Amino acid sequence: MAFPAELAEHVRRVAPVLLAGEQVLAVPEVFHSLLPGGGLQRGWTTRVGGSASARALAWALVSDVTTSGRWVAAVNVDGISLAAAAELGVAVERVLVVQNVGTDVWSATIGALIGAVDVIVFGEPRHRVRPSDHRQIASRCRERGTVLMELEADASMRSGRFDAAGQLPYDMVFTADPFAWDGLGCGHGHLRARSLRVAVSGRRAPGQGRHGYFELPGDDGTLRAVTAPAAVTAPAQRQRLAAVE
Amino acid sequence: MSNESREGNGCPQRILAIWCPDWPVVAAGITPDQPGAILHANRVVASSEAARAMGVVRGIRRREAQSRCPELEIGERDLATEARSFEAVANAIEVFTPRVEVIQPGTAIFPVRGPSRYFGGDEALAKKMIAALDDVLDGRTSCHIGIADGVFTARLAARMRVGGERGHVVAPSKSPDFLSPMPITTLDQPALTDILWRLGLRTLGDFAALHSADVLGRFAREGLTAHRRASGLDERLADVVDPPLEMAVSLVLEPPIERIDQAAFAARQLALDLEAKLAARGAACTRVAIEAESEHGENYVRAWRHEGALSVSAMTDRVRWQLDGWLNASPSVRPSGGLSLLTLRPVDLIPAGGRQLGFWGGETEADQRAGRAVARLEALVGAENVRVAQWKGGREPSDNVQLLPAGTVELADRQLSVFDERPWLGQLPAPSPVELFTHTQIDVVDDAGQVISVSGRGELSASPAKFRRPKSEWKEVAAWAGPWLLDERWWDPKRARRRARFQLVDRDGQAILAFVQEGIWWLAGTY
Repeated sequence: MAFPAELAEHVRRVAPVLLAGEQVLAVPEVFHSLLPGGGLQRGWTTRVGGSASARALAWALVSDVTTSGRWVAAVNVDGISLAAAAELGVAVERVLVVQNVGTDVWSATIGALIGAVDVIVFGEPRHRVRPSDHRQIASRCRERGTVLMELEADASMRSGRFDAAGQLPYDMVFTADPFAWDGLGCGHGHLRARSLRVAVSGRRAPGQGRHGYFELPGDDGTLRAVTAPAAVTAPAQRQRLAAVE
Repeated sequence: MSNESREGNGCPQRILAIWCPDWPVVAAGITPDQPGAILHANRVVASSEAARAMGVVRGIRRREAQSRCPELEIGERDLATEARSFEAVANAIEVFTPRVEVIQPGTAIFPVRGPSRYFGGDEALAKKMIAALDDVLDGRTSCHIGIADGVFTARLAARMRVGGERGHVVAPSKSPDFLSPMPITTLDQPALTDILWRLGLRTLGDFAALHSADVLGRFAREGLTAHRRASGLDERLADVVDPPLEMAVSLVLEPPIERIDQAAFAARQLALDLEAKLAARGAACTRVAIEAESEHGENYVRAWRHEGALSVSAMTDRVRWQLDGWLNASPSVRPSGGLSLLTLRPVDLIPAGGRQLGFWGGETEADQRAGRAVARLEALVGAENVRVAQWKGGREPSDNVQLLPAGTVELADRQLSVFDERPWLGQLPAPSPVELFTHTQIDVVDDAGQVISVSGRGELSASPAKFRRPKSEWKEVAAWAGPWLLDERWWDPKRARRRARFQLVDRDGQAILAFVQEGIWWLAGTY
């Protein structure tokens, strides 16, 4: 039942001032080492990329938002896999999927979702977002407390990015690279656990080169932080995979 | 309407209820002697007479239904079609009385005092009505009629099957005697009847014998309504009021609408307007009359009734179904031009907050905000592009979740994820791919550069060594597993799937799900 407008106005006036802690959307505890505020600051513009597996990180980041009764929208997320989202802890009944948004109504669609949902996850726009639209969207997000989360498109499909002009650089950029898979042999087994190295950058990043290692999900289906494997460099990663053969 | 319907509080109006059994099945075009079932969310919601004889009952799963009756014809629930096909029945009833109220497709009621006097008594009216409806139904299903004091009793009477008799008349003021021996579960409020059962109240008579003050104290408004039903009293409480005329909301349609897809947006807009108007008075409505006027001045009215308060999406659905029914009716009754004026008129108002959401249910502010955004998004990108998920279950990752248009779903108070279903045979274990692909061919070759082939028994020509996605470079395979064979729906040439699935990991640590079908490799997803 909706409030009458006057009552809503009174509620707004007498509502206590929001503390910084309440302006944060909680993320699962394992990510606290990456995000010192304990979550995604409301109004942030973020980007998740690095590899195709980065989508697992995006779903894991928004999982606590949905389980606490808030809504997440997924705009133009091609090949969306809500089964995977559910496995990563997302309450998929509160994910609003908006598909086939044309470039002419893209900004209006994002605009309609600001304030209506708490996180807007969107695939890289297929066009150049006008700087004026970009500024307007970003400022409305800060005002209404909605977090934008852009998903990087596959390298071969790359078309554009929300912050192409770099006017308001992303508050936080998550780069997720798979470094190991558990459970798969050479002709036997099946994938059990996805290990990702996640690095954060962007203008609100807590420090240069902050990163962590996570299993999303681990072989028991939960999200876990794992200790850094000894000297994970590109060649070592290859060796580890080669050793499986 | 109001003065006549108030025959003193407590003594309910005399009602005739029409019940066409298994309406979802009938609407899907399945005859009673054909085994058929209608499913919603993978569970049977209605089945035909022939299917019931083989054990296909409400509530069982698709697989179970198919195993009990292999030749079962299965359809997905489509409320719009049900409502549209019921319109013909409602039109036939309208010949007898203008005050028809549809409760749901398949069930309608009207106050019977006037018509009964005109047609020479309750029995005579019931006989005439059955004959008229049999003409319309044309053997697709039978219709059953119940006449009694009060809506609840009349509906129960319609469902009574005494010795093949299709009309059941409960004499005036005999409702309590009729209801008394009925089992408590006929109230159809599982949360409440479960408790009553455990309290030792097995029949409606037991429940009715309780003092209404005690029932109100323990079970609040829902309990009291149920108690009045069980006692054969008017189930509307004393605080139901007739709305003032200005509560109606209208929408002038310019240009006039002729197709249902144009009507959908108008339906939602009207429902939102009405809800805002009602909310300002702290009220909700349980009955709504939908009125339409065509550009040539033809008038159409139909009332819809609901057990609890009508929510925005419930109202939207009913308006859409009704418009669909009018616009797609047979040529003799169809409006000769487009519809130019649409009015929603609330009939019964109840205080808001006394609505029958689950037992302790409620809706959160976040759900409301998302619900409001849906209407705007539908206008921007089209109703079919704004979707929410529903669990469906299946063997492939893309089958697990079905996306339903958000405008057709009640966003608040939805069931929590039902991902605790037992696994499907042949389903790949978790984790699932995070991105799904369709129509993306890939190349998978062995050391010698030969495309890997899989025999009918699942034997590989060689181990995969390299794979390549379209427009990218060759990747060396670091680890792989498979084939997991899948042979689905082989009896249905259109939807049959026979494939061998593989997981492949390249040396950068990127994993993919691929499958071979008829010798061609396809990308199914990336992990």
